[in-house]
Amino acid sequence: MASHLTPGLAGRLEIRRPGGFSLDLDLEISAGETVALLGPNGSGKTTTVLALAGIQPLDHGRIEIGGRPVDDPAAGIFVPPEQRRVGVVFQDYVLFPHLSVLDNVAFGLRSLGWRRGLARLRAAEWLERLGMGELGSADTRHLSGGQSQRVALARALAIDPEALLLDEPLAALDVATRARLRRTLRQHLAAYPGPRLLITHDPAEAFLLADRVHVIEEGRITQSGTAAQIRSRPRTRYAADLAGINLLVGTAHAGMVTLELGGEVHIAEQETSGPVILTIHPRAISLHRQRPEGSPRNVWPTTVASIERPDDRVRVQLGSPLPLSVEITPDGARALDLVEGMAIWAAVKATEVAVEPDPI
Amino acid sequence: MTLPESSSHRLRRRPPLPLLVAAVFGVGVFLVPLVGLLSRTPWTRLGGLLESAMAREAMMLSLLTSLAATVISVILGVPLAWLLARVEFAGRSVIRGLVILPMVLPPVVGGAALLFALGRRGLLGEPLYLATGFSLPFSIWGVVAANTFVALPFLVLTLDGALGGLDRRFEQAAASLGAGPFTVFRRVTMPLVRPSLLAGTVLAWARALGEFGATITFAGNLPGRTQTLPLAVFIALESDPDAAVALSLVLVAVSLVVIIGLRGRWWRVT
Repeated sequence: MASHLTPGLAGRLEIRRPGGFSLDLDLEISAGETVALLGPNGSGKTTTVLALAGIQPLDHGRIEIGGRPVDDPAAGIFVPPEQRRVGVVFQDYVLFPHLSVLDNVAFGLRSLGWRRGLARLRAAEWLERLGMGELGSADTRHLSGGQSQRVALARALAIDPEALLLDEPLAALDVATRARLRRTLRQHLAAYPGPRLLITHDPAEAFLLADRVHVIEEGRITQSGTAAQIRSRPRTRYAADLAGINLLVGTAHAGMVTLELGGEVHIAEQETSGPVILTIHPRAISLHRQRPEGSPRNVWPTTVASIERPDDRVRVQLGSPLPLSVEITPDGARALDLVEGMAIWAAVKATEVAVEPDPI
Repeated sequence: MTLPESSSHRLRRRPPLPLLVAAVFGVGVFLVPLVGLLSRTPWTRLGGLLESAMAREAMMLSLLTSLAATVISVILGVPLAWLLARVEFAGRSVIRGLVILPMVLPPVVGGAALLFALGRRGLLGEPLYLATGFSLPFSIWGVVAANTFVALPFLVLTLDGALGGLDRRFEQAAASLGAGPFTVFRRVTMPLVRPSLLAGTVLAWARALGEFGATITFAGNLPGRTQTLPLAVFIALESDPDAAVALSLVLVAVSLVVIIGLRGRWWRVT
């Protein structure tokens, strides 16, 4: 593909819907950058995609894609979706059921005026590139979730888009497939040179695939930053919930994971080996004044780096060696007599450490 | 309706008697006339009766006019259904109501209305006649006009419903891939609603084939020119009841084929 260098995507989006919902946010994505919009259902994520694609016009604001204004109500500019060249991977993929896999991927090129034979040739190249070369003649209804996702991605990329929008690209997959496809998706995203917007409600997906994350709630961006920034200082309860999920990267061998940060963590699975991602829920970690005796396999001394009290909970950031988030009850915090900087023991059972193959 | 296999024996109770009695009579409303018709059928003479000149002319005319009306209904009805389902405009619900009108209007009144509009003295008919010498009533084209009037709503309603139920994201995906509105219509929307288009077309055709009131009012009852199957049945009842029964059986057979062909989709109409 003629991978020309695409300028970015910039927008100030204001949309009012009957019923009181309004979207009001600023977005800026450079070429070659992946930005995630992370938020709960109904927060306006899909509306944002529809606005950028030209399916939902803005009420106010302005969208520029590849340096060209495509929606600016004040200036009377509105470029319809078919002239925007924005590649969209829809949630559940929305493949055309009446067309073969190959013709799904060729659809965009055909619409742009390519001859059928040429469009199919290029579509076959895209399928090949995404590892689906043998599936061109298949019926889309017989594809697995992962295959459908790659066909949808090939279909969006085949038009050589100015920007790539992915709406929950992994949500339709089962957990095991999700981890595997997150890794290939990251490779495919990296191969696309333009601006990339990832819509998701899954913090692991946002933090692992995106360079920057915007947290979106009720049509507003409530927090922006890198994964590390959001996790260390969540500004809303929702962000805290998302950010609190502890992600660790390391290498597994015989029930033990050697972390990139240093240190080792016991896991329940003995068979897993190679690069892995660990997730530990903040409520799965317990804190103790003395070294705890008992079943938890992971016990280590650390320090209390910071204490925050959003709402009725207490969130503790641990210091080295593992900068994990821990959530405990106010009663628990009182019993421990927590102060910032104090020494403390942390413990987590091996069964509470979720292990996924590493996406890198 | 049947209950799931496992619970059917324990949970099956006798329906309340008043409902059961009324429902059985309800079935009778459909069944008794059909049995009556079949009981009077001269099975041995059937072939001969259907080969009479009157019968053959009526069948051929019905076939031609109903097919012509179906083609016109598709040409006009598909864009109309698309417009109703996809474009928001003032007066859309008024037009939806207008589309239903021929379904609830007595066909005789429809025929009379057509006469006042398209007759030799009609609103549009008079200038047309003065300009070209052509007039619709009492011609085969009058039959087609009357058939189209009653058939079009079935196509529009069926398709409007199907378009309303179609996931809009298919069309959005097509647009994002560079397809303009007409390409989306042609390459995505229509292929996806094809089963409903087929069902609506068959319903429209069946309705056109059976039309009586509007046809006799607007196009008259001229054997060989405007006398369709239903009209021939009506006339034959006086002169040759056996022929009437034979022709009726043809229409019953067509209806059964349509019902069987559309089973499972029937409920999508409305």
